[in-house]
Amino acid sequence: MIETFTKNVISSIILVSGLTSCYIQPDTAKSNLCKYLSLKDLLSIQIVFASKNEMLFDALYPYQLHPFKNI
Amino acid sequence: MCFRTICFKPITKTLMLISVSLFCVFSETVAQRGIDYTLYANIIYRFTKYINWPNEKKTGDFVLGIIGDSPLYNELKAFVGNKTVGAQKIVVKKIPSSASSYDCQMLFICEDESKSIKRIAALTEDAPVLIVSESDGLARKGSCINFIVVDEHLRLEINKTNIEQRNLSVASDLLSLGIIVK
Repeated sequence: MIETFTKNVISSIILVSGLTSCYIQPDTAKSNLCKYLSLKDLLSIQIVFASKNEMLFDALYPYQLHPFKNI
Repeated sequence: MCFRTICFKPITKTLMLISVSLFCVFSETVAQRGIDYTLYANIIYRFTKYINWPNEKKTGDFVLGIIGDSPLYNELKAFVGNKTVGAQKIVVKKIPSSASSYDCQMLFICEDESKSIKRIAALTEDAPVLIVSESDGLARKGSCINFIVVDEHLRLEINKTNIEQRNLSVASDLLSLGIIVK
């Protein structure tokens, strides 16, 4: 029983550390997308507040605003 | 009963452990990633196209200093990794707010260090350092360009006087995109 528990603990630690390292990586997809936008376009990106109380927000990128427009 | 004791208890414990760990990880990352600093990093890099530094600052690395603890540091490092300003390689550095001098071309002051703006502005008064900040009203307290959010859009408050006092020149294209403050 102790062996099983130890195995589970080790595997959960590996899982959590893997998720942590993946999740903390900068969002390269968004960075690459923004490379091709002008400063004017970058400033026109709408910021959507997920929670106004906590000031959390994410940006709506042009491909999300205009899904059929190739940029 | 025996089956429950042997098989389910460790699994339940493990699930609880994973849940608690994941909660800690995600609550921390959500707190860090509250603001979309990808956008900030992109815009900050574009400033190098609209601002002209004097010749004395056109040698060596182009140093982009960050004061304060912010996810912007990682975003900027990732974004400007292999970029240059003219022939200068861009280097992102964390700089303590208590530093006695700021040897860099651009200095970003994070929100948690915004109280230091007056001291930093005074220390860099005669140096060609572009101060960029992200708190309301800082463009009137010594910052050159200040990020604010207006109607769900990022806006730039630009203090032309502060920029020119530092022997920097700003392109009219950038001025036309920002809100000029004095």
